[in-house]
Amino acid sequence: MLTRVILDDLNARYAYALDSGKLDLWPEFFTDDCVYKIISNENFGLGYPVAAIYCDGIGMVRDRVVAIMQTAVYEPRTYRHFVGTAHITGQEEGGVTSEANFALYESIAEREPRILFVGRYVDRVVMADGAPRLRQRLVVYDNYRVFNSLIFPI
Amino acid sequence: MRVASVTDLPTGEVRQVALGDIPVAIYNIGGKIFATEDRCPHDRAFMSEGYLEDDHIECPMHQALFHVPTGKVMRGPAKVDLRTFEATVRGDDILLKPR
Amino acid sequence: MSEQPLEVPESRAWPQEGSTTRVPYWIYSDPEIYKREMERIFRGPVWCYVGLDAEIPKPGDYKTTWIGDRPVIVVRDEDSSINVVENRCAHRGARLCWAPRGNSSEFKCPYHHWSYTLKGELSGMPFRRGVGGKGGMPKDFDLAANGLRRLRVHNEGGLLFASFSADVEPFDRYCGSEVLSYVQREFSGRPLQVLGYNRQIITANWKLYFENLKDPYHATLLHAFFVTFGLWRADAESACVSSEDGKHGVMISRNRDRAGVDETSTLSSFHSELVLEDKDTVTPRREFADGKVVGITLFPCVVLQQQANTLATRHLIPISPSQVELTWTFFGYADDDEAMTRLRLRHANLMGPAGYVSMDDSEVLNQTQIGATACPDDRAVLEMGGKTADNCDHMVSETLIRAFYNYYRTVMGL
Repeated sequence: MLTRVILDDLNARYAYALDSGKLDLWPEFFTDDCVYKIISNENFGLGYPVAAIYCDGIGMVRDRVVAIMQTAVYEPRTYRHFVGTAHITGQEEGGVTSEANFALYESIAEREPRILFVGRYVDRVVMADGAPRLRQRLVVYDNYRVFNSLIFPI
Repeated sequence: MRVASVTDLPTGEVRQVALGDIPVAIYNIGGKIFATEDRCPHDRAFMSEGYLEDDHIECPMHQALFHVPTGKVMRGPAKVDLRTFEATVRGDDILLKPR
Repeated sequence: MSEQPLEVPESRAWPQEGSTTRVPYWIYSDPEIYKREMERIFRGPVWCYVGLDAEIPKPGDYKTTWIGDRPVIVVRDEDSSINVVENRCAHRGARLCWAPRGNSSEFKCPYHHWSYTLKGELSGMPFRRGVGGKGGMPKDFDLAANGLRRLRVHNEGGLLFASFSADVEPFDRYCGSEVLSYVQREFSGRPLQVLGYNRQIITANWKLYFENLKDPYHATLLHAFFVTFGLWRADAESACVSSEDGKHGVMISRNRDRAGVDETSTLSSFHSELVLEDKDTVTPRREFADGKVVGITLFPCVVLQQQANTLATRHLIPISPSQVELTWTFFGYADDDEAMTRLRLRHANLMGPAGYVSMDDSEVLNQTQIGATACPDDRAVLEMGGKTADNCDHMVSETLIRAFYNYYRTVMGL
């Protein structure tokens, strides 16, 4: 039974993994058939499929980690997630649909921290291999534009 | 239905009356009485607040121009004609025929 | 163009030493230079990209955007033609359309309800004749003289351009025949469908972004992803082509199979042990008969991108000397099959603010802006591939940037 407490715990562990730079743990939060997207509220609302990051299946989630760690060139920075309480929006086979608000702060040396993203997670969560996992996480962001670059997942 | 008296509508003037719950503009053009819907089909302004020149009424909001006897739009931005009502005078009473 | 020249200090003289190969850093930060660019370039005799006609398919559909620092509305008229007008009420200057897109039969300013046709003609205003015989506009007020400023428009195979200038040359001459042929290769009139947007603010001068797409030299060095996963390599068959006057540029390369990697040409950024699990991400389907990968910089404000199977326009909207908004409009063709759309979306991971071969660009351009702003009187050295601005059949060259600045200096009087 997936309760709000379980979803909040999932979100807390997810944010901790990303904020502490343990990017290799990130794919563990997803099912093999997952969909992960970071998509603007503009595209989401218009029904446009293009996303800033688009992963269809766990392979693409792992590829994103490899590409960031091995090929991306970026100024060092810290991301800090603030995730609101999960809200279960529906029941479906094997799990629930839920949403949670988030804000993401970016901190870079010699600059003030900045709210890089604000938005909501639109999730489908199931029990898989004995743990709650994300079958879908749409990171729907409200900001109209992205300030400079988006390096890490949200 | 009686909506007004002729003495309250001098020549060259326009005013608003109610026909049931519909606002209607009544006009005195050279002693002859006409009636159209009062709302401009463009932006809902009251024609009765507009400018009556000869037999044309200009909307106060965006200057759409209508021919009062026929309701025809003569100049935009309105694209649709004004609906007209049949007006008759009996004694001092102005009567409108509900549609 | 204004008759009064903007004042640019005398210290802003182009370096004498090898002037074609040197670019002074003050052009990236000087506010007077920026003002002159807005006037002479963006409001000058150029065709500025404003969108795709697929964004506004139905009569009354509009989108709002910017040409340099000027807000404009791009709208499809009742007869399906395209109008571009300034998004600024002729009365008090308020922006007329506040939403990024919509559908309307007219434009009405929310402030005092002045009303305009889709062509920008002032059709009327409230209380023009006063109220109860009092107030109102003077009798001699001329509606026809107080419409929205209307721009010239060109539709090239679904790409929409506008110009503030009455003297701008026809679009085909503006491009030149060779550049135009590359534009028409992708925009032949085959109907387009919009797949979505990515919008970002890049903390760099707009020209640095434009130059980045005229610089094939960096592609295999900064973008380790390209070489690692075989999409581009330094020895791939390639070319740099610019328009005769140098303002537009075309970079041509080919996607290569990683299996063909010649170890002797590998670079330090190449990690031969890496593989992607999702092969589709780096396996394009051939869709253009010539097999080429073509990137076009169309002066002054759009990049036409074709990389793998991702197609996009990148619209540059300068915000200040040190910031530019970059709007990526991803699209496909209306008759794409499902498999192609799937590839276009996967390959879109290469692009945008988190793109595998574009997040590096926004990062490095910010660093370039910081360095250039710190030392305005120093200059960049652009001698890779020689000292001239001739076309070349390789990618180890900065010739397109040299060509661009030859043109830029003429327009800017520098």
